[in-house]
Amino acid sequence: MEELSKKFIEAFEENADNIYRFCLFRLGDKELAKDLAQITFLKTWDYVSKKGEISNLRAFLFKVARNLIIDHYRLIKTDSLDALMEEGMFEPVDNESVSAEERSDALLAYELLKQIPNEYKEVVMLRYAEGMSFREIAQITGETENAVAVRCHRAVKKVREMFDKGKK
Amino acid sequence: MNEEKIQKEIKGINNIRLSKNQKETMREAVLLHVKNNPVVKKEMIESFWFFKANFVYKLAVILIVITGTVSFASERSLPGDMLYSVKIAGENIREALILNEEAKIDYKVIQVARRLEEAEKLSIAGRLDEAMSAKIEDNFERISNDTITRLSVMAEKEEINKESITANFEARLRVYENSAMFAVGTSTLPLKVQSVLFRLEDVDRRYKEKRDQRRNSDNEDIFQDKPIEIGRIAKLEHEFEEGVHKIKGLVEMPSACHSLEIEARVAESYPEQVSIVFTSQSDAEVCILILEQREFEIEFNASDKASIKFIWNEQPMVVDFALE
Repeated sequence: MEELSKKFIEAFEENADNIYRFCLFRLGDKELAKDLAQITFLKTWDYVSKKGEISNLRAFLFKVARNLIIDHYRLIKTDSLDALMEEGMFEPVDNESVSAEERSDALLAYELLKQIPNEYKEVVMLRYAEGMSFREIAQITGETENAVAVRCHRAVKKVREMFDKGKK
Repeated sequence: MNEEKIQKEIKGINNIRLSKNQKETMREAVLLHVKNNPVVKKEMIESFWFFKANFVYKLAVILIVITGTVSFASERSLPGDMLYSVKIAGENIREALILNEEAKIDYKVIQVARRLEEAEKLSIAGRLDEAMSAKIEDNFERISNDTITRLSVMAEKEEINKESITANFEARLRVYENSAMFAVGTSTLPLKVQSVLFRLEDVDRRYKEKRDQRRNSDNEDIFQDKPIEIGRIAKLEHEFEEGVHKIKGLVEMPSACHSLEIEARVAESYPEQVSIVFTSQSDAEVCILILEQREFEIEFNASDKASIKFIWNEQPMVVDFALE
């Protein structure tokens, strides 16, 4: 297998779970998230095979996934993730794939993420779950680094306020 | 809770992942796709061309491949120098590798400026004789003509950032417009520069005319397309509570025979862009055209900052009510 294909398959191994997770939290549907994650890789390969190597393939994959999610919402014009979460249709963790401890951590994180206002969810996920830099997030969302940094700062403030309120 | 703590908590989300089987299935699909859609190899075309090319071109290709450019010596060379043909070959190869038409025109503008700069350097060095001047003129004319032609074609289609390219082209030409340095024997280079400037102005004028025509025609279209049968919102009420928008009101129908369907399209972004879409039609062959007001009501989920617009049969509606 040639170099570019090898690199791409390595990128798949490294990012498949992350892209699936990103789709899952935006769509609230496991099957759909799986499909969109797969389409993300196929579409990215179509681009890479024609245009050559991409400097930040990881950010590119997230960008493709994000666009697919937006397209999907434009098509179905229906239930948002919030609605699905509130209705309780979305069970985030499969018992078979994780240990009890991991499941507990995941559910805690899920509960936290659920409470974060919609406009901050994406940036919080990319920054704190994926450990991305402001620059990478900006590449994905199409905003400036500065705008991403401000949004992140506001998100942290908001989460802090939520917790302070919760304690009282 | 500080940033570090948030990070630690959120990281737990990474325990959500594909099962082994799911990942395996996905990997197979991706591998199959990669196998069925191999990398597009431009080298195949280039290698054929490479064998047919003469020595100078081969040398230029080798230099570009190894160093990313032709050698510094050839870059500095002037017409009549041994390495000058390598420099020109390098330029031609680079140009051939530029696929975007706009970038290609930009590169040609650079080439034109280079030819003029070379003539100037030769003149300063006292090497610009009549024969050399005639050769430079030919080169200048050939590249300029090509550039103007490409620019015209692109400008006709309005597919180009024409302003910045023509401004750049013009600025580069103006430097040499009245240069006395080229006044060697019967050299007509300054005249040729002026001629290209005139043609550039002509392209610019035609581009502006075409653009104005299009704008006028767009305006006419907008006027003509103004729907006769468009609903008008006569009353509008908006409520927002816990992420749910509720919009109700009265819409004036074009006739009593028109049907009315209404849906909310929420584009998932922040703030969300919401379109309230009214679809109305009438199959009645005969219908009394009496305006009728009809009630409507719709609910959708979006944040309080969502922007809301109203569409009637794919056309934007003018709404005089402020949504609060």
